[in-house]
Amino acid sequence: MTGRKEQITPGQMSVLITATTLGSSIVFIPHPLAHYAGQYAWISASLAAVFGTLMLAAVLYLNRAHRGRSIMEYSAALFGKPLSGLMFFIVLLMLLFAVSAIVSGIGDFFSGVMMKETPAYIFNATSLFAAAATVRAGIKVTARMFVLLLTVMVAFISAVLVLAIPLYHSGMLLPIWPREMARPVLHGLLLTAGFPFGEIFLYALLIHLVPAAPGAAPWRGKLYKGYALAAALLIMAVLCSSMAFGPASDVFIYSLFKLASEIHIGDMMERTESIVGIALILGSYMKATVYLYMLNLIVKGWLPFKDERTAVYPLALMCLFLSLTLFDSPADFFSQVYVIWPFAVLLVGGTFLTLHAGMTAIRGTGKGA
Amino acid sequence: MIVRLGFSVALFAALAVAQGASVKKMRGKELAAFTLLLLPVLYQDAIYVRQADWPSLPELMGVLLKTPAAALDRFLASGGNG
Repeated sequence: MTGRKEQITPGQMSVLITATTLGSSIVFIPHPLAHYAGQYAWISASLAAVFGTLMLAAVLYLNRAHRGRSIMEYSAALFGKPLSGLMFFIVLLMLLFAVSAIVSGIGDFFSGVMMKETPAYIFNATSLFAAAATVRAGIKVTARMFVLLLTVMVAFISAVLVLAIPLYHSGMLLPIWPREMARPVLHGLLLTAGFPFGEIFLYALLIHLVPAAPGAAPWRGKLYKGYALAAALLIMAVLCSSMAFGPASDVFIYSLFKLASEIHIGDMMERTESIVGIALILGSYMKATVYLYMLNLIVKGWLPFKDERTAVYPLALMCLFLSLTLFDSPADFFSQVYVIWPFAVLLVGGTFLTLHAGMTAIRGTGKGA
Repeated sequence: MIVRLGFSVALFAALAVAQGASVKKMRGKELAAFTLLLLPVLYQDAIYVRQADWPSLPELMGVLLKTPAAALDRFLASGGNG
């Protein structure tokens, strides 16, 4: 991150979108989704993916209408600084919560299933330090590095889903005791439309980093492709988890990790879950990094720092302390992350995008456009 | 408490090492802004070290949204899970 304006290519932006949509949700979502929607989990996830596409379309509409200006610039022009500042303050709170929850999830995952004797704060601190150091290196370096990490993550997820084929029973997708379908599907939809698909609204903060050169080849399709890849993998993970474990998929907190542990191919491939676990947690690290970058983007828009990286470490420190204090128990984590957070994303994200898109449609591109 | 205090002292020492030189060069508004940025960090650190039950910034939003989110969750959960 340097003094000059940072830019990334559309391909790199699509990598970031894939990484953040898949990251952390691939580890955490199958469990609460199965809890809410049972065998209909994949239907909820598919519907939520469509909702996320609409959010992405709104983000791209804003980017097109405002010709590559940052959302903080045109938001102030559209709504005035006080109202715009209030909206970004709410988004800032959401990002603080999101980074803390992601990092807390990394700590819980490692101290819960892989290194049980090591306290979670060690993992929280190292993950956040890695994320902060990556943010300080700049968005271009981040995006380039994530190409490799995302490839590793997607390859491992795909390998697990393919190697576990003998464990799948399609009959598990049928309801055991057919009851109402609408509310479980809606419940799952509410969850996944907020986490992770609705979170795509946060890309309104980043999308201006892709240069809007006049006459350049259309690039927005790449972003849809990146998003579609993430959505497809997530839906497949949910579907495969349901087919492998049936109603019990709501028991395993990290079902893809559990699925990997069930893979035995002769004597040559056993206990693959540790490698898979690390690959899965890479997603959480990537998501925390991108969200920390967004946090820094908002803060540097408000505070007069000469060096754009000044706020990164203090923000990371703040998220670290939040990650260690926000959640009193696993039940509290469940309530905050799977009940309140999706609702907050839908309410705040939906309102945020609707207001900006609506005002843009009514008033054009705002003063100073 | 001692472990938590030691951990947070180590973290702030690391921050001082990483940014001490650039903070020394700061003047006026920039220094004030950095101090302002550190205030919520210190507050959050105090909550962590003391394990105090004080409200944190993101919880402000949770307080507002908890009731409607929980009500919607209860309504949808009452439909059974197939």
